[in-house]
Amino acid sequence: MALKKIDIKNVTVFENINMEFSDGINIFIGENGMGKTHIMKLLYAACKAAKADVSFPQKVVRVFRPDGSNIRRLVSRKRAGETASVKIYSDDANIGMKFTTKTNKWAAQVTNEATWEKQLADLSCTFIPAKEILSNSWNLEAAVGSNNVEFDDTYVDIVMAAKIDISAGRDTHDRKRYLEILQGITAGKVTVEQERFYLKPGTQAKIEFNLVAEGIRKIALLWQLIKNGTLENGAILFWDEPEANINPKHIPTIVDMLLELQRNGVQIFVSTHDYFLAKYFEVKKKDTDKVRYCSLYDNKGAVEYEQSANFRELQNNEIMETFLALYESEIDKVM
Amino acid sequence: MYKTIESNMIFGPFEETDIFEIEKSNVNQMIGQHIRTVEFIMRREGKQQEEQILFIEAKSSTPRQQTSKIRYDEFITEISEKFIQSFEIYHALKYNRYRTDVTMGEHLMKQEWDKVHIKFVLIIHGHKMEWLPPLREALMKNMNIYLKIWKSTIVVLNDEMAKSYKLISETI
Repeated sequence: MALKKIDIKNVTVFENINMEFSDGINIFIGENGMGKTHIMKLLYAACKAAKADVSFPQKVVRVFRPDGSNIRRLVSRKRAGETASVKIYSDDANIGMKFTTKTNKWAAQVTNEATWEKQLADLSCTFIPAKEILSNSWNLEAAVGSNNVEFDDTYVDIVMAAKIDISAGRDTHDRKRYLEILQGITAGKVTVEQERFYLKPGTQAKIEFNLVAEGIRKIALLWQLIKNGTLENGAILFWDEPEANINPKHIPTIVDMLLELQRNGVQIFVSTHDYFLAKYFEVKKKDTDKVRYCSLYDNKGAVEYEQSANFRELQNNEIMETFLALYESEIDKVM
Repeated sequence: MYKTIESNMIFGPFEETDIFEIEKSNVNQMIGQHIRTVEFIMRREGKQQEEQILFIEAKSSTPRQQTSKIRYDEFITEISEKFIQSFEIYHALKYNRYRTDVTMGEHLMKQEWDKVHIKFVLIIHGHKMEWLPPLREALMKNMNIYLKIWKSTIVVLNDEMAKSYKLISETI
């Protein structure tokens, strides 16, 4: 079950945006503040709202964490008097919500929640935030629940997702292959003991995550999500800036892994500022792979977007513009 | 004034005294076959009024590394050899290794080598700018020691960039 489309009106940086998605890999690029992570969080909240005990607006509040848990803080500052709305479509269902600057807490008006829950009841979705959190995961859920620390739900949820095991028995052939590839980088397997995460390299003693390099921890997280069955056919993965703290030489492996997951039915949303990551998708994809770039940009104060199957065909491409500006500076220095 | 057309790009006009048309000179005939040279060598002033010597090679296309690594590597070798051999010939002429009526612009002949900035310039007609950095990196890697010894550098431009640096006036 794939996410097909989002309509956003008057929410955060968005005045009015209607965006369709690929069933495969959707890559968001754009300068800071263009709403890449906001779109992913809205989609993620909608996916989580497929569970009967999760309310769409409440989940939105928990992943955005506005002051006072008030969804009204998400109304666009430019058009504060108008109604804000979000509507998200899957193959044959949709869920929407409306709220204004007068809406209290998460009391937004929700539409089609029941149908959405019914259609997407079996949906598995995961959001990997930009900062690695497993190394600080001990007691995180309780601390957040007691308001002792402030982390949005993407951090709390990923810890939970990494701990559970919903895999159907033995590793499939594909899963084994993915795990071996990732273990080539991490040099070990992830284990969870007493709510803490460790990396176990071969027969050596386990290493607590705090002592493992952050880039390796991120790849180890991917290993764990594949191992425990979270990223199977029909799942949706959101990954905010996968390149953060990762050695550039591992980017091709991550891209290969994501393309493989897409081939096996995982819909993926990625946001990135990284030339290597963005370009490697273009280089490594096959004709049958579904990859769509979405560039969010500022057009006279309004966030707009363009999409293309090819990175180099985007007209508004801040990654490429930065890359070329560097080359121009390099040449100008010697000429 | 000197003007020449290479790979559908019109180079110049430049002062004749700043130019050596190495490819068309009789030096190639004197030295023999299998010598590889650039189109021409020129002298000019840089932005900070520093003296520059540019070894200019023009191309209308390049092989793509993804399509044929062998052809790409051959291309890098070819261009590197053109730069290096042109540089060597220039010095051989400056130090009168050949008794010949070679017409090298007098400003080029008179260069004070402790002050000059040496640049090996490859200009490719019609290339997208994003294709240029990998070419530059490959050439710099291939000529690394040479560039270090002579404190020189490589520049890879497309026709648009070459126009902005007034190396070409128009394209055909």
